[in-house]
Amino acid sequence: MSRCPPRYRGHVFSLVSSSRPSAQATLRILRPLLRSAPGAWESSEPLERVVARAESPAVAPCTLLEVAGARPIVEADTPTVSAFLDGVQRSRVLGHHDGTPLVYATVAAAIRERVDRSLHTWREPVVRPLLLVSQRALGAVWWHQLADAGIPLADIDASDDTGEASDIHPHAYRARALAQVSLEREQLERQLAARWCSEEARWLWIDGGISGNIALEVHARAFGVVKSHNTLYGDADSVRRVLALREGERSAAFLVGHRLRRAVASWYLRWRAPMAGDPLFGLVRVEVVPPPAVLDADVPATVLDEFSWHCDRLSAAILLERHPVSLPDTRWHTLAYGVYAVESYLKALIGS
Amino acid sequence: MTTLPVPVASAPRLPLGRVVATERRPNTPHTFHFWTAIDAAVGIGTIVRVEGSTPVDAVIPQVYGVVVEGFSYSDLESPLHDVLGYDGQPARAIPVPTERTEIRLYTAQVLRHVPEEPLQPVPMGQVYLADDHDVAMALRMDGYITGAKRTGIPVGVYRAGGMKSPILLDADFLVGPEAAHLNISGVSGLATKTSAIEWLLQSIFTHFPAHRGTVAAVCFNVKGPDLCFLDQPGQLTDADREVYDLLGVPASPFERVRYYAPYTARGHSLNTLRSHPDLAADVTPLTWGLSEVLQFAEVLLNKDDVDAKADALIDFIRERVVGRVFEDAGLARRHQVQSFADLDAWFRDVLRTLEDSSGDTWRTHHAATIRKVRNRLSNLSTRCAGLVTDDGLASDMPFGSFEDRAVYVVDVANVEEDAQDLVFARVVSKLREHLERRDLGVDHVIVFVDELNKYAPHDGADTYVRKMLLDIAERGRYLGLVLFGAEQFRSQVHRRVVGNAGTTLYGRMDADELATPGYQVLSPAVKARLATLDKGQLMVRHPHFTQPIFVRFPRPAVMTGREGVERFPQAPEPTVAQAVTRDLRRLDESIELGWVQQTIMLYDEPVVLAARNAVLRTRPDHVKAAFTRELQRRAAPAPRDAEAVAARPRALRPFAPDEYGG
Repeated sequence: MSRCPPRYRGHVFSLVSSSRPSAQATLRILRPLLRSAPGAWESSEPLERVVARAESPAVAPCTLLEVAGARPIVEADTPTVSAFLDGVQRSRVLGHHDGTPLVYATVAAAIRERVDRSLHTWREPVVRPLLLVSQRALGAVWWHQLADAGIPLADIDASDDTGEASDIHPHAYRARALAQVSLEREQLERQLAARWCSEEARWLWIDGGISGNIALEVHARAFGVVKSHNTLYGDADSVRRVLALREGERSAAFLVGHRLRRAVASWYLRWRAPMAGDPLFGLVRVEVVPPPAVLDADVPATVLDEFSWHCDRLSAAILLERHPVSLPDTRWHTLAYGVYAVESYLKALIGS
Repeated sequence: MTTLPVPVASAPRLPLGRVVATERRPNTPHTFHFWTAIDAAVGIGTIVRVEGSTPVDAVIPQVYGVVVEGFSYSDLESPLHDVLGYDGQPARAIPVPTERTEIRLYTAQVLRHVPEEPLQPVPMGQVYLADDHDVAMALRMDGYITGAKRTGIPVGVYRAGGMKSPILLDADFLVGPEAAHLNISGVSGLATKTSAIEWLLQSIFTHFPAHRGTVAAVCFNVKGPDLCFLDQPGQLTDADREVYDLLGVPASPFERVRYYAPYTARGHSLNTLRSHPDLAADVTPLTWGLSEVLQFAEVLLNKDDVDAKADALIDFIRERVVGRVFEDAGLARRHQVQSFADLDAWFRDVLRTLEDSSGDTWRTHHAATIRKVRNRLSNLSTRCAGLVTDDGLASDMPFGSFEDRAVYVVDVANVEEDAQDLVFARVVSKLREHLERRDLGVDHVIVFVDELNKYAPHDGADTYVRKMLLDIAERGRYLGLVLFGAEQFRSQVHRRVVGNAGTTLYGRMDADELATPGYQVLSPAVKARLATLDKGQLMVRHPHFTQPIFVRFPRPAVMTGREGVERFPQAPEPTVAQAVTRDLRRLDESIELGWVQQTIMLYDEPVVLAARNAVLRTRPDHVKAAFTRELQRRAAPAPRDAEAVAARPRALRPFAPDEYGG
């Protein structure tokens, strides 16, 4: 589940704002502190590419909502999805002070709605710059000087809750900074999703899971599509059945989450036929907010039937989004073009 | 002179694009790039305005440009990805709910910076579709389309985004004296070249400023009936009339058109496609005698014919014989050479004198040279039959009394090539002479010559006509002699002729022609557009325009040649009596065919035609009496006729065959 957000001065800047402090502006202020050559940061790699976030693969238990087994889905004729939501982040180390990195990050999220088969930005994208530093190492004078200059600050130490010696490793700082940036991005995505759901009655495709999004209600016309499968849900037989799904088949729906009332309904969908025997190729997992009645122990059959029909309908809509193919992205087999287009848009906004 | 409204800026509009530059594809002071929405009304040739965002010297820079290249691409990295997306089956019906992101990226060449200094690379900024005012600014027309001394001549309209902006040329750079001459090229068959010239002449006649003097046009109709119906109304569409209104040119045919054509070889009728009885009366015969032709003998005699010795004899004849009383002790009589017939009599007398004297030379001219020159000169009237008359009577263009805003069409379409060259050389020379003396009747003459690649070829013999065209191109503007030339392949025209044309128009071009070096300055997209231009579309280059501009012009308000020959079919070749009746009735409507038949019954055809020509030339009050008198006078035996039958001593020795000049 989500961790507590880091302490920061909450500045959210729209795209059109010209007052957003740039990395260069921030660097100018920090120059006496860092004594680094101007522009040196530009040659540094984004942390997102440098920091390895390898997690161990896992199989987690879940509660089935439908009878186990593959269900063939017929691709929809007309689109159901009206918009796509995604977020991006970029983090770079500007320099080091007292052994701790100063990380400049930009997070952004946007919804692109589809009008006449073309994608347009819904409302305005949200872009948030952030300087992640160790407040302890930086000292109060510099912290306030930066804050007074209008630079949104976040304390890397705020998420250091283990108290282990390894936490002072510069790479550990980097990893924590990156985690905080990810949380920032997720928060922007959640805010944007909540806004869509409150203003629109059309369907929104959210890239990634929705389990942390408490703003989504049962009537929300939004669903999440998870592309990575570090954790597979179900017992051994269920997982085998999932891996054996053929193109256009979905698994039985199940509940994901430790707390029942915060659990989301989910199912696997084989979006594209497996290639070279890779069982995860073309496999996505859909997350929706389940109707409360489904969570009851003695759920009526009609409610379940209706829920199954709902899952089938969404699956059919998701299958329709297989074209155009989101090549050249390496995740094309699970990445919808709409999401790819949002990513491209946001990368153009914040730079690569 | 009609006044056009001054272009004004339209209400503020939304930008249609944004300037974009990267390190790999930067903007320069002369080129910039911008992107637009995919449905933006922008294409090759569109004029745009860039509004910078950062003031330079407290002024927001504005840059005007014309689109010369366009690019479109999607977010695909490789075509293979699209193939994969469709499983390699283009016909597969795959539903695609979202269109791929697509970009329209354009490259524009700068037309103008405002302010001009400092000249900087085009700034980042918003791009707007140019309105009328912007178009005028971009093409620097603001310097000559307003004020009391305006010199704008509409050449067409520039169309973009539903707008129609007048495009005007500067008369000072079209007719002189700053620059002059116009050249138009394009493939045959679209009627663009002739139509454009006709339209432009109408525009010039309407808008040529009074403070720049008077202007007339001489058009050589060298093929078909294209220029034969300039005084007849043509068929115009509503769209054409709209353009005429917009450009302030009356949608009516030329008011003053004078036609000139030589006779056919038989001499019965004029050699023109404008021979329909309803129209033939407007055509004036173009006939020249010895004195008119001898001055341009060089046009018809090639270098092999005229060596130094022959040239000396021709000069002698021109200076001492023609038009004078010639007496020589050795000759049988006194000669007054006015015509080819007189000249032949003179030659016979000279040769007989030579034979009688047993000598080889007469006044230092060798007998062989004399025979050769006699042969060549006598041949002229045969080679140019219908144009050159034996009897010395001339019917010429009205040099000295040219009218303002009049078109003089010289129809030589059906005349032999030699005669065409002769007509062109003499008419242009006379125009030049009169313009030099300032007594032509007008201050400027536009000479329209089609098929320039034939008359002024890039390679080939250095003919008299080519030398004349080069002379006009290089020096004509100082005299007011302006060349409007047309050809299919510009690359085949002498580069000094096309190079001196201040204004150049291009219709649809052949792909092979576009591959020649002269078109290297054009972008591939502009070449592609040139290769597909429709009727009524032109690309214009003008000294004030820093880049070529595409315009549309209306159909000329005159009857096309094709329509003209359908509506006014050519009259059949008349008998001599019919021809004489028709011609004399122009002077006296009481003349009837029966009277003519009866009057000419006893005379030979050449005598009848010569008498007719004499009457037409002198235009007497009493036509019947004058015609009868001419017949009788011509029928009486002349001294040369008496010579021909008089007995004379035999030559002492025969001439060798090589003395006859080969």
